[in-house]
Amino acid sequence: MPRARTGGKKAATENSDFEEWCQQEFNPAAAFSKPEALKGYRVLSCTQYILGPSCAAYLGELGAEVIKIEQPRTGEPMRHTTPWNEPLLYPLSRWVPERGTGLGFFGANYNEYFVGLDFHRPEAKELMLKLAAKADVVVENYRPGTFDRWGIGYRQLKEVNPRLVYAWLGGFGGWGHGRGRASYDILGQAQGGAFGITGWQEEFGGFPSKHTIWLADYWGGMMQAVNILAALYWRDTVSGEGTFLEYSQVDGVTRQLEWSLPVYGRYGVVRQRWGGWDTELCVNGIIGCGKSSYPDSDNPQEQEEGYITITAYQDEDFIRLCDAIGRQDLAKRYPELDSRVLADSQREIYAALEEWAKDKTKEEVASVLDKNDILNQPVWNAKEVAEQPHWRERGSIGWLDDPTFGDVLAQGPGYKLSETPPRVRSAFKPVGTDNEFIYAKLAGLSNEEIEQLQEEEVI
Amino acid sequence: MPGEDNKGLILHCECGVKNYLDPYAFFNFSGKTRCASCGQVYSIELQGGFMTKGPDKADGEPDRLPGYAETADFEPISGPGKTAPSPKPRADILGRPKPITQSIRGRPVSGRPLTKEDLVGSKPRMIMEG
Repeated sequence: MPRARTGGKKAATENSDFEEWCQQEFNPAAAFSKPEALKGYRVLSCTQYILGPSCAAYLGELGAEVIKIEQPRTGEPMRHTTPWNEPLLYPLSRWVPERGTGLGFFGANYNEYFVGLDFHRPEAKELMLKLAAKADVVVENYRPGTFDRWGIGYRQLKEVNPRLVYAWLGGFGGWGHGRGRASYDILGQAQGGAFGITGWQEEFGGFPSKHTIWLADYWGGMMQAVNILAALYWRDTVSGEGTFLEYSQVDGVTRQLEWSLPVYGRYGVVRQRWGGWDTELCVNGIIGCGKSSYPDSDNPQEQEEGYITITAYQDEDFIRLCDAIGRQDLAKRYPELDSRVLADSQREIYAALEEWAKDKTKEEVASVLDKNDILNQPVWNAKEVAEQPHWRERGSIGWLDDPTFGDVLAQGPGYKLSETPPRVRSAFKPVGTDNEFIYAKLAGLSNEEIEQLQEEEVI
Repeated sequence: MPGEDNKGLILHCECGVKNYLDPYAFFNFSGKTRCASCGQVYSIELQGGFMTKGPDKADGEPDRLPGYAETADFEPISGPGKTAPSPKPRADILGRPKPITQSIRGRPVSGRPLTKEDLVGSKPRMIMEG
């Protein structure tokens, strides 16, 4: 098990009494005995892949009743997308028990009810209107205008429910001349400018790099969830009426470009990529450590050398770092950030760090840096993250006894509320699991009607 | 033989067979490969997917085999000793379901294909009944 990261610079305001109080207030084991912030709000999630689903899932974590609506029997595409078609949870649905759902679906559909509805069928419109009449929020991420064309967009649904908050998410926006294309996370990040500043400097190949995780999707979902909360607040405290919300994945990426756009607007300077280093700070980057932490592993990626992030850009920190690696000459030659941050200086400094680390594992490097009060963090893989006692204790990662799939390791909510904590009751369910419950409760259908619609694959 | 056609990631052999050079393995490559049909070895160099040297006939064993090949009338040629599967990001990826019944800590998980008899409603019977 990887060691807990307790070393490095000590917090200036250690206060064990406060920590104990926090542990008590945020105790994950007590979450289910506390109320839920969004209990009583109903959300229809007509979503696919990650951007839209994650938005609804965040609301579900906070207690909203989220109803995921998917293609009958086989569900939405994300169930069949990743990873590698190997690790599946069964059944896909009660009609297709021999197939499963891929773990790419995991984490974006917590705590939800699952029903089928084929939007292409004439009966679907009537059912959707019935569901929307009793909902607070609709989240959807089909191409812009698709639901409007099918007669179930905001303009039609607000006729049956003027208080409806309708949240659309998509790649390039629902209006404007670049709107007409479908998007995935990778395209959104490319157009939004994130990849332009992520990747390698020219001497290391110059290639931009994509983020392995679906950042634009998961952060986009969160941003739209914030929009939804604002719209609900406005409806419930001011206007009494619903709202149409639009979220473009690209807008979300661009919003997080930091100073890239202001500096371009001011000087015409295009911000560049600088790999694992930093154009503005030195040392503030990733170095390779020459020894593997898992030399006997069967996994080729674990056999590779380790990596560690080091932050020592303050002058006094840099001096200690140079002392620690026995290169006081660097501290004398580059005493100030202005001299350290130049490209040639960085090349020399990072090369010296890697030379020093070439006979060490990342843990050995961390140990030396901790003793010298230099901020550092080994680059962890999924196993190391999963086994961290710190994240287990906080409930950010934990084993979930899922009611359908059994024992699964799950990311917990990434935010903590002391009085109304978010929680994970279920990872997800098979397609159409809750057809009977939801269509009887919200659409007033009889058992016979539900059975017939299921046989006809309408739901 | 080498000539106009051999500019990129397709190696046209003089026997008429097209050898497709897997981009992962050959995008930046200098060494020898072998026609999947006639066995002629070629020395080639590619940079950024463009053939910058060769193909020149050579002797000896190939460093890498083409990913796939086909005849002029589109008959596929592949198999051990002729072509090589494309590299994978992980050696143990199979691309097909890997059924399990327990999580890594040894507790039940619904990770294998089921039949309708295995279900109670939409739930796996073994999870429902413990």
